[in-house]
Amino acid sequence: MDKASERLAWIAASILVGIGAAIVPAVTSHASRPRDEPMSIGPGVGMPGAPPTSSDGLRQRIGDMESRVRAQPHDIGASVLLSDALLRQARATNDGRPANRASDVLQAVLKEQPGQYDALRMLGAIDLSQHRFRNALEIGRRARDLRPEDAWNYGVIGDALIELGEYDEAFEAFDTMMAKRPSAAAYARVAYARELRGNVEEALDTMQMAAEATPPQDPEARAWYAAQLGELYLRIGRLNAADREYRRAAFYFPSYPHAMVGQGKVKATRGDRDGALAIYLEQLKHTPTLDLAARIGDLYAKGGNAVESERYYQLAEDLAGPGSAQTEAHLALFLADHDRKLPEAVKIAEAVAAVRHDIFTEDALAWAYFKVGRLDQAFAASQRALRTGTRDERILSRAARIRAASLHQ
Amino acid sequence: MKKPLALVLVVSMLFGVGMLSGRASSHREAPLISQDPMADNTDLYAFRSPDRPDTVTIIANYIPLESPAGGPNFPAFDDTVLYEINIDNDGDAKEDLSYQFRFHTETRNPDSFLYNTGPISSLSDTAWNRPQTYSVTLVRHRHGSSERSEVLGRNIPTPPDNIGPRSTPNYEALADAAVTSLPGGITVFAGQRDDPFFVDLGSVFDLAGLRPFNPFHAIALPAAPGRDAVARYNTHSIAIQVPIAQLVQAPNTTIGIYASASRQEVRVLRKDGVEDNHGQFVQVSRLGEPLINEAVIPLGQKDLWNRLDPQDDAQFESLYTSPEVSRLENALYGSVLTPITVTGRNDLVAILLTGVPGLNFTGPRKADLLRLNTALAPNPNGACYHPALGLPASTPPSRLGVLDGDLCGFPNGRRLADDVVDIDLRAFAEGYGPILHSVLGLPDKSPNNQLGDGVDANDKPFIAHFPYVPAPHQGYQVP
Repeated sequence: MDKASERLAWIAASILVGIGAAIVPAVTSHASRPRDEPMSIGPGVGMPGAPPTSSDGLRQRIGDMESRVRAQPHDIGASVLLSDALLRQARATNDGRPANRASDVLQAVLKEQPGQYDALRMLGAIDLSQHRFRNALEIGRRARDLRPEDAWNYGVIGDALIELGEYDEAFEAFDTMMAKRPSAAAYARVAYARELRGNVEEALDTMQMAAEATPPQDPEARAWYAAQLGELYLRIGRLNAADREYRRAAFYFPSYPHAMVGQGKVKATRGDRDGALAIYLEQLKHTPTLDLAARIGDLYAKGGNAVESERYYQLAEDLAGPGSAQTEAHLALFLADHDRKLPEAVKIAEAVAAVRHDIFTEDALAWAYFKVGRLDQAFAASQRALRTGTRDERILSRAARIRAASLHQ
Repeated sequence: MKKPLALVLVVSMLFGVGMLSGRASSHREAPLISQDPMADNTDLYAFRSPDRPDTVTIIANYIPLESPAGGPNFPAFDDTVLYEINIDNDGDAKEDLSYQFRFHTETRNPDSFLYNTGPISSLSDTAWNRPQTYSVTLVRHRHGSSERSEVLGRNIPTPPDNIGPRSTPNYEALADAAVTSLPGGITVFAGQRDDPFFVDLGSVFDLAGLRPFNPFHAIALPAAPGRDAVARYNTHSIAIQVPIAQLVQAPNTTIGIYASASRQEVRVLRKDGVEDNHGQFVQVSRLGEPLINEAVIPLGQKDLWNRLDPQDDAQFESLYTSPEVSRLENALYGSVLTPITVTGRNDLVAILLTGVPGLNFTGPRKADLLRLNTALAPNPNGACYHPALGLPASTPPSRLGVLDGDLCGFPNGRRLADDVVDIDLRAFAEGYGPILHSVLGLPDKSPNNQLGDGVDANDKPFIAHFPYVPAPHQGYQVP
């Protein structure tokens, strides 16, 4: 949204080009402006003039905008701002339902006004959060064609491409986003690209820039970046720094799921099994995910408690939902990793890999093939999982085992 | 004994489909925020200092609408942003001087996330966990050859934000201690201040309403006084006072000024395939004349406009000669206003892009710069009325500046008290007032010359000495 942050970009725009221009047709008989012309929308949650992205701020913004949308179902500005806040809420609570609601709201706008720019660009972000990467890519490209100067669109396009495993194009999109307008959002994406390419230290530097470029009234984004820094520090074994960043995330946004899980991960890495377990079990009540249940199962297994371990592994499977509904290879990897339902693991991984070939999907596919003894296919997939130069130890160690087995063969 | 299966049921009821992945590193969830308050120019002021008339004071404000009670995370300048005040002193619209400000935040106790752990009684108080200092560098641009940089000061302190009587007692003294003299008679200050801007956002937001003109709006309401929506909000100011002799290039006396914020470009790949850790700075925000980004530049071109330098502004000329604002004024207040010309508005080009001949003209090169004729000396109260008006020297400054014949006000530079919203509303509506009508032959349509948002002054009085902007509102006192 370019310089909408400027105090008056959204304000005086009503004297001027934005909302004012939009309402002129309503109060005079002038011809309506083109549908793809950007309109001025109030500040997004967490921005000057809007509630902060704290729990209360998000609730307040969602409540306010829901009321506006109820009163005026065709209020595009309210619909976009509602979706913006719902997307944040989804991330802050790790609950997908707010994003579903956002998608419905935006679809309703687009049904009335196909191609409405602000709804379209927001829908791209919502589609990403819901794993509809092809849709997001298509929407991002449509929005970019309407407004090639808007850096946001290159973020949507790059995010979609990176999930699909189209890394060269994705990196190019991120670089374009950066060239159009360096920002926290652009830094975070370049940081991720660097991480994928195995440059964790540079990724840390760039993610730090993203954190610093995020304003204090946006504690949710600050928490997100702090948690990302925690992940990166954890990756290179700097546990104190990782712990500090996760705690910082929890300070910015109390009970932030990534912050809580992250603190558990640090404890688990330090060998504090009970401490980690306590955090994971508590967090599981709030954000029940495959990942958390599997971590709990692993900790019980390490402690020799096979019964509890099996309970949580079963829970992990249940939380993942049916194999046919998977858009990611997490379930496949979990099954392969725990020697459960291996033929199904292969089936799921193959189905996901038919849609996307990012390194995480390739890694899961390789591991599933490996576990059922299809070594050639495992090796090929494993090589594809290494193609960005990642230094992700989990991927590297699986690749090493597959390679050793292949050579042995 | 835990009941994971029961939990599954509860969970499915609670969360339904669409549960997000637990993979925290998934960057499809990375924020896509496109607003950037810390690199956002809000206002720019420039005037001959009434109490030190051999100097010019320039104030560049950043970070809009800071809520004083917005803890526990308090706003500050961004260490990763390059803040600049740029000056063109030869009329070619290219900066000849750039005062660069780079900030550095120290975290005294990295394990504490608090802003302060006790009362902050001085700028070196260790209870202040995140003190911020800055450097000032003067870059002299020599077009066609290499530029010359001179560090004017390092480790210059900023004051903390104004939190409350426990954290920041005696705030004025803290802020005063941050006013710093640099070599060459330059004075600087950087830190939180009251936002000196004043405007009725609430009404303007509501379908471009101006409360005093409510009965004449296309959707009529009873007339009402304006309400300052920026009252009780803070901002961050960078203020610099520089001897005039260091700013001008004889024989020119008028300087063109713009402030900017730039962020470093960091790329995944350079063209040669190598990662680039030290990219160039890309300008993400600029401000010369007030309200241009908001009033003149369309939304679809704002990123581009902000990225460009004023020397490239000629391409936007048609937005000034055929202004959207004037069209809107006709559309919404057509029942009362004398019809406004909406094409060929060379008057706006003069005021906003080249300077006004005889006042602050810098040549034919069109650029969005705040132009200040440093030869016009203010009285001790800051005003300087056109001699033909025959007003006594004690006549207070006019909020309408040059429209009232007060040549030391906007659009000849901009003082803190200048009511740029009303001045712009009238200028765009061809309601320049009788003085400019008789002196410059500019149109004086009526009642266009009465337009205004009804907010005529800042909520806090300005102070009589550098940095002139009042102390920030205190979080403890402001809801």
